[in-house]
Order: sequence, then structure tokens, then C-alpha cells
Amino acid sequence: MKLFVLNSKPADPNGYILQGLMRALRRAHRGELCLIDPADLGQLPSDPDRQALLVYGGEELHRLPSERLRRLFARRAVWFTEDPYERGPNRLHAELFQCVFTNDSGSVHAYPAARHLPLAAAADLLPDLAVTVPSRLAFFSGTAWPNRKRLLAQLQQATEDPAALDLHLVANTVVENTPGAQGLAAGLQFSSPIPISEFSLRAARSLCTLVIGRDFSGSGAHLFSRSPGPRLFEAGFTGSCQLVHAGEIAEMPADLEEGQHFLRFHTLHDLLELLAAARQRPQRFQAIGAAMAARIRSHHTYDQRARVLLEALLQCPPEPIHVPAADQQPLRLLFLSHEQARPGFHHGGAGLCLQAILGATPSHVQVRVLCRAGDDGRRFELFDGQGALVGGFRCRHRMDEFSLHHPEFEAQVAALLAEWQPQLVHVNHLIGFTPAVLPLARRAGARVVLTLHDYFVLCDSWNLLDAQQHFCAIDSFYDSRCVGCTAARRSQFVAADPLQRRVVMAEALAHVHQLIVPSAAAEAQLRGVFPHLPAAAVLEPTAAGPAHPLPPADGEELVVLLPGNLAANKGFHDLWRVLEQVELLDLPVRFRVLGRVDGWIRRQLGAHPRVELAGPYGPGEFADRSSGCDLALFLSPWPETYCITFDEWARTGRACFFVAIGALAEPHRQRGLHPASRGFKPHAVSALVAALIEAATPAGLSRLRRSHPLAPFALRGSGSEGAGDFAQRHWQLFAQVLQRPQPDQPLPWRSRPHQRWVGAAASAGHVPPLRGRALWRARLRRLAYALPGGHRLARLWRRWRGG
Amino acid sequence: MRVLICGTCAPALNSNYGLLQEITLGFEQLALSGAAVEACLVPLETLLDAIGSWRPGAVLLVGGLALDTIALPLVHHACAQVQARLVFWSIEDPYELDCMLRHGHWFDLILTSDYASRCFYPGHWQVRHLPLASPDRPAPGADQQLRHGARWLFCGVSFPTRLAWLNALVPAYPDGLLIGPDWPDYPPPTRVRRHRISAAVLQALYGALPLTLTLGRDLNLANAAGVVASTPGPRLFECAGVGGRQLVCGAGLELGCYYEPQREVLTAATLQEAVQQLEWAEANPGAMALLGERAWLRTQAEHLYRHRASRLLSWLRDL
Repeated sequence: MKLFVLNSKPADPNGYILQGLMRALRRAHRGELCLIDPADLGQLPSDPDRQALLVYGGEELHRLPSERLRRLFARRAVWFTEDPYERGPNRLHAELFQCVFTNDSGSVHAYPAARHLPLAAAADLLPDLAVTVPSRLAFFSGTAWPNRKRLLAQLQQATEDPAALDLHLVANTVVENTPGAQGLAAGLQFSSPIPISEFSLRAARSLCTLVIGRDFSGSGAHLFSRSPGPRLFEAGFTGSCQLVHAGEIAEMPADLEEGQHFLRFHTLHDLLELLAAARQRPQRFQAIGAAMAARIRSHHTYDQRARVLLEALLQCPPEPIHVPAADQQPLRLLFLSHEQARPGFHHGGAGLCLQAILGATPSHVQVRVLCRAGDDGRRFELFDGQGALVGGFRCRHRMDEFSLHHPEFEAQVAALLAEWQPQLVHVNHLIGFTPAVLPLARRAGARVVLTLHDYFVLCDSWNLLDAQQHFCAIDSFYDSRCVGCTAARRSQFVAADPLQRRVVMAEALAHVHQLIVPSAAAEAQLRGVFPHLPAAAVLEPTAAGPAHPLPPADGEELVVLLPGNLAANKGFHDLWRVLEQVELLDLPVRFRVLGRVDGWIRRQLGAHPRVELAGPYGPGEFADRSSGCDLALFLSPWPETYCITFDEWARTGRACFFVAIGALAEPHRQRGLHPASRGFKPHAVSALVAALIEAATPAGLSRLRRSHPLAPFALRGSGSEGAGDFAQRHWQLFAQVLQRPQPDQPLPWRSRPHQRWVGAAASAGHVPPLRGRALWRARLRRLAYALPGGHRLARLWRRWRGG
Repeated sequence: MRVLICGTCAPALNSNYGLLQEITLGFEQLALSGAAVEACLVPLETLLDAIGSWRPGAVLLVGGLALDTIALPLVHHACAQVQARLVFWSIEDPYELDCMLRHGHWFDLILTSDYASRCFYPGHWQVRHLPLASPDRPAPGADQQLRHGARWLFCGVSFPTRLAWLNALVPAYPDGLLIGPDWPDYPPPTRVRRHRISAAVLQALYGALPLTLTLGRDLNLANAAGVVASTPGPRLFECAGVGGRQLVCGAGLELGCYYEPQREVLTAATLQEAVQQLEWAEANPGAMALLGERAWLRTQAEHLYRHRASRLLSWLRDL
């Protein structure tokens, strides 16, 4: 039996009690043992007959998804530890559990079939400090409830030797704000809380310890625990004789006998008599304390409590659970895309891949796509599989590509995951989101798949180019160049520390069930820096459309094609140096630029006499519009993870000069390329110009224009099914990932509220507080966004205002 | 066993780097005494490579985890590749305890320098209490105290509790030397030096001034449960390790697990007690010298880094 223990009250100041129980359970339980956070329930495998749940505490149980608990665990137990103070809410939740235990004997009757299980002691709460002779007469430590303050003040006043008393009172805010209950009598003082180990040591050095109840309630509804709390056992464990207030602790555990294990007092007078007797005959009190300590060691430790809890769980009949068969449940997939997934949007390579996958969605699958809406970093839109807008949200604070953490956005994503409950989340690109989406999706119970289209997870220079557009060839996690490089590239911004960013990414990526990379070369580059990642699936994008041998140019000039996007990181600077030399040498070479070109480059190239700007091309137009070229150049100076245009060109049967790095350098892409094709090192401009000179000669032109059988890799997936095949391989992989068993142990993750998250890319500056109309406008805006559909209302408002 | 030691951030950012060197030295001293152990200290930048090339039996990370400077999934992966145990010695508990709770699942063994914090770690993890310690320093010689100088020393950051102690102590006993950033001005003869000093200078001062005040830290950075520290910090051991004479203010009874109050260190729970102890120390220089010698002897017997190393190795063997 796998036992999962859930603490219903995180950040509990008495959390050491649960951990004492956990240590005992570790000793007593032969099966697996796991302490889980409520947020990790989504990660647990559905195996109810072999999984049992123990909930400790009981507070805040309303936050737990009871239906999910029923589906995950056929045996469920709860140990309420805050009775009687939480008895009302506890009663509402008790029916979820077959076994109910309460710390308070007076609360047993409140539940249909509960058992009293008092809190206990743990040997390892007491540091190893030998105390032979007690140096103090009596010890008390606890919250300064009014009844305690009264009794201890009277004791202090009446005792002959106040220095023999070790009284430690911690102020309670509610009490100290209640008229008539504030303050302490002369001779007493409030102290700071002490660790439980210090409590034990102070008890150990005292002959007696006072056990006084709590007679106070902030609400006025007084409730009294009939049985003692954990301090009785913790102090009793040390051998200090327990003096128990009979009026406030009505019932002691049945196996502890008055006079043998502890002593009682009803009034101050009784107590003073006991202390006087203790002073006169300490041996008797030490003997009682020793008997109590022995009894606690044998019957009241968390080892004993762990055995009781485990026995109850093992003996309780498992609840029959109906889990819908997986094939009966509708399959829901959520995609996260940095580009809009709607028809007509001008996508980059990653977007094209996603469009292909969406286009092949099986009919039984429901799809949602969460996209960034525009570049303002605030709006996010949710589309269905057909590109229809079905939802979205707007964040008050902007998110940019530097943001490592964004609580507002992450809360929205968590809400979407909780509402839509996808079985699989595919992150097509992390840019524009925070790394936390990966653990959030996993915690929501989804399988997480991430495609790494580039190296964004390694560096915010997603192509690993430095400020001089040179590839850094990073191959280790801690590369000393990264800090300087980031500062040089982002000198105008206060960017995230690159190593901290990589740490956060490494942790987030550990939550991914399946990585997808477009090439083995890309995986090798990623694994050099992130060796901990699981093996990735290589799914190479395949260009759509049939293989189409193209005629070369027919004149005496060499016609060179520059296909695809042209930007600084696509080798423009090298191209410009080539152009300068071609012009200088007056070579018979013309260039045709086919594809999207950055504006400043377009202006620069537009004036060049040897360059024709052919503009962007649409789907299926590539072959026709590149007809009549002898040679294509692929000059990206970084190891591209894939290049669909390279594959498209290879299908034309013509030659190319390319920078042999990344996916383009993979051996299988070289086999069968036109024999005049050549690979170059990055920035090898002279070699490139020399090759162009040779190519422009009659012999060179003849070689280039000779027809050649198409490259085998270029034929793979060719035909109208090319993109479809790529998409089908994704859907097959998704199905495999969904069929894999869920890991037994959840992978913990917590939000990182300490991380800087908003405006990480902006320079820090003082924001003056809002006043007057601006303040009211801001409040109104906040209210509007808080309303259901508020972002739509705001969008209408902005349109109406012309914003 | 080979033990690879590393901090959780780059040495240049690590104000505790000297501590790491002393811990490494502790393992080396243990090896000199015949233990089958080798230790090597590496900077964080080369940790992953060192795990692969040196193939340690255990990797010991020392420090805190509040800053996202160490990629634990990668370190864990690298250890798994060479079958090394991954151990963390948390020296910032309980002030950054939540960070440890967030990341603790990566480790085979966690050592916490604070006993009270150990009680809050998930009970199914392997967690042990291992206080910090002292470097191995020679016995204090006779006549090493400055003849004209401050009567007491405190060096450290001005946390609120420390400020409260000194605001109360200085008017009653002003002839002291206060070193550390952000301390307010106190009128002469109290000397305030808002500088950082090296560990070597501090240890020289421990020996040269009549009395060192030891005041605990109280500044939570990530401690949602409000765990209160119980184990004294490293300064207690370092000062005792050079034979320094200490007045430990506001410490709990756990102090007695390490040094005997009034015999090896002076203690004070209240301001009144602290003033009385200062007066007594002033009046009894011979007894104070003896107190320092006893503290040094106790440290030599129990609280050097080689003792901690020995205990760590025994726990590793039991894993």
C-alpha cells in the first residue's frame, strides 16, 4: 500500500508534530510513503486500490477537491488535531473519510464513528543534554490566555521563591486587544516564542511542569478541550512531573493514573501545596515524572500513533470507486503558442508547425490554444481548434521575454487548467510565457510536452548569438561568458541574470514529460547545457508540397537565391560583405531575395544594383517564385534547429551554399544534395566569395546547371502529405505520452514569490502614487477587469475610445 | 570516500567561502588521522565537470538556497550518473527554511545547522542536525591581550535583536568595539567601525580583547512557519576555537550541549544579567583566562570541522 500523507494546513507553526509523525510512519510503514501538498494531487496516478490517504490536521479541508480524493484513494483517514476549536468545519468534511480520529476526547461524539487519538511525543524533539538534578521548581510555557495569566500571577505573588519558577508566556494579539484581558501582572513578562527543543530542555531542568488549559475564545463561543494537548506528552517525556489543572483538563488518557503518572490541582491553594511538597520531597515528584516518562515512551509516542493509524487504514474496507475508462473520457489538449493560432496570421516556423498539428486534430479531440495577443505582453487569447476566439484574459502587469515569474498570469493559467482540465498540454514555444506554465500544467494533472524550436530555454538570445552576431558554442551550464554577453546584448535593460534564468528554466523543464526537438543536432546542443533532460523525440518538420525540379537560369550571370526570412541573425551581415566584394570585383552575379525581410535591411538592399527584392511568398508559391535560380545561400551563423526552406530548396534539385552548423550540417541532409553544394564555416566570407567566383565561371555555371537526382531526405514526406505526416507523428507521440503510467511520486514545485517578475526588462524607476481622477480611473479599471468577461468590456471601451 | 565540496553560489558572491575552505580542511585533517576520505573544494562553475571527472562518493553542497544560483536538477543528474550521494549542509536555517523545503527532495541527506529547524523538515527525508564548528587553531598563549583597548567586542550585522541588546548594553558598559555595517553611532568610548573584516582579523581580535559578545541572528527571509532558531551560529565555535572569552546573550539551553555555561562561556538571559557578567569578567581576569582555555579545549575535543566531517561520514555509511 502506498501511503500519501497530506497536511491540510501548510506553514503550521506546530508543523514539527506532523514531521514527528512522518518519521514514525517511515519506521512503521513497509510500503511507499509520500508527503504531498494539496496542489500535487493532480500528479498522482489513479490507482485507488493500492493508494491510501492520511490527512493530518483538518484545517482548511474545504480547499481539497473531494471528488478527486475519492477517485485517487479507496482508503482514507483523517486525524483532526484542532478539535474542539475546528469541530464545526471538521464535521462537514468527516464524511469523506472511512477512518476519523480526533485529538479531543470531548469531540468524539461529534462524528458518526470517530476514535480519540491524542497527540503525542517524539524522542527526537529533545536535544542530547544530560540533566541530572532539576535546577528549577516549576516550568510553564504557552500562550498567555487570560486564565493562565490570572493563575500564574497569583502563583508568582504567593510563592516564596519566584526565581524558582520558569514562566514563559507568549502574548496573543486577540487577547491583548480585548478590553479587560490585556497586560500582565507585575513580576510576569511576555517573551518571544521558543523552539520546541528549548521547551523540552526547560521542562527537563524543572522538577514540575504546569499543564493549564485555554479558557478564551475570540468569538466568545467558549470551547474546552476535554483531553490534554501535545505539551503534556512533550514535557512529560523529559521526566518533569506534570501538574495538571483538573478544572481545565477534565480527562486524561486512560492509561495515565493520577498519583502514579501525574498530579492534579483544582485551585491555586492546591498548586501551592503541591509545589511546597515538591520542594520538600523532590524524590517523590521525580519518581512520578519518571513513571510518566516511561509510560509516554511505551504508549504515547508518534511511533505508537503511526501504528494505530496504519492499522486502521489497512483494516478499513476500501470504498468501491468508479473511474471512467480512459477511452470514454473526451480528450482535451491545450496548446500554448507565442503566436496566434488563427487562420490568416503570418506565422514563423514554430507557428507553421503548430498550424500543421492543429490541422490534423483527430475528431475525438477537443482543442484549446492559448496565445499571446499582439505584442503588448498583457493580453492572452484562447482559441478553439478552428481558430475561433473562445476566451482570454488580460493582465494588469506586462510580461516580456525576460519574465521568469508573473503571479497574475500564472494564476490565470492555473484557473484555465483547473477549468478546462486538459489531459495534455503542449507548449509550442515558451517565449511570452513564464517557465512556471510547465510545472503548473503538470500539477494540474496534465502530461506536459514541450517543443524546443530554438534555444530560448538556454539563453534569452534564443539563437545563441552574441552582440557581434557570433555563435557562442556554449556547451556547459555554467559558462563564464554568459553574464558579460548578456550585459553587452542588453545594455539598455535590467535583464535577468542569465545563470539565474537558466537555473529557473532547468527546474521548470524537469517537469516536462516529453520533449520534442526538430533535429538531433538541436538536441545535442540542448543536452550539452541541460544534460538532465529526458530523451527527446526528434520530429523533423517537413515542407508541404511535391518535389519540384526547377530549371536554372539561362544567361551568363550566376543567379543566387536568398530564400526565407532575412534578418541580422540569418546572416545578413555576412551577405552584405559578400555583396560588397561582388560589387568591388564586378562579378557576374545577381541576387534574388525571396521572403520576409526586416525593414532596415529592405531599405539597405533596395538600393543595391545587384539585388532583386522579390517579397514574401505564400504557401505553395516557393517553387514557382524561385524558378530560374542557379544556387541558394543559407547563411544563418547559428545552429538552426531546422530550416524548412532548406528542405524546400533541396526538393528543387539545385545546389546551395550553406553554413554547415546545426540541423543543416546533419549528415543525412548532405547525402544526395546537388554535387555543387558546399558547406562553409560561419562568417567565412572570403571562402564564400571565392566559391561564388568559381561558380560564376562558365565551368562553374555548367556544373551548377547540370541536373541531378533529388536528395533522399528531400523526398521524405514530400507530396501533399508532407506537413500532414509531420502532424500525424505529433498526434501519435501525444497518444504514447498519454498512455505512459504517471510517475509514482509527484515532482514538487512551488511558486517563487521572491523572484523579480514585473518590468524585469525596464530600468528601475520611481513610480509616483496615483491621486485624484487618475486614482479613480485606476480603481474603475481594476473593477472592470475583475468582472466576468471584464477584458472584453475593456476591449470594447478601448475601441470606442479609439485606443 | 571521495567528498566533493561546493558552495551554492560563485565564490565571488559567497561571503561564506572561507567556511567552505575550513570544512574542506576538516576532511583533510580527518584523512591525515587515518580516515579513508579525500576531499576537494571546487567553485560552482566547475562542479558539474568535477562530478563527472573526479567521480566522488558524495557531493556536499554548503550554504543556502534562497538565491537561484544552483541548478539542482543538473547536480542531481550528475550525481546519479556517477552514483554519488548528494548531501546538503544548510547553514541558513531557519531563516531560509522554506527554500530548503522547496528543494530538499533533490538530496539524499540534508544536514541542518539548526536543531529546531530539523524538526520541521519532512519526516520522510533523511535529515540530521550538524552544527557549524571551528577551524583548528593553536592554543591561546599567555599575555596576548591588548593592554589598552576596548573591553568588549561585537562583530556582525545589526539585526533587530542585536540592536536591542546593544542599545541596552552600551549605556551601561560603553567601552567596546562594534564592527559591522549599519550600526548606529554610539558616543565614545564606544568605537563603531562600519566595515567588513576578514575572518583572520576577527579571530585575532577574539584573542586580543577581553570579552566577545555573542548575539544570535533574527532575520527571516523565507520562514513562513516562524521557526525559531535553537542552535548557536558559527561565531560561538570560532571564538571558542581560538580561546576567546565569550558572553553569550539570549541563547537557549541548547548552548549547554556545546559549552558549559559559566565554565566555558558566560551566559546572560537578560540585560541585567549581562551587565553583571561584564562586571564580573572585568573583576576576574584570571578566571576569564581559564574560561577561554577551557573553551579552547572543549572545541579541540568536540567542535572542530574534522569532528563534523567524521560524523557526516558515519551518516553517509548508514544511508
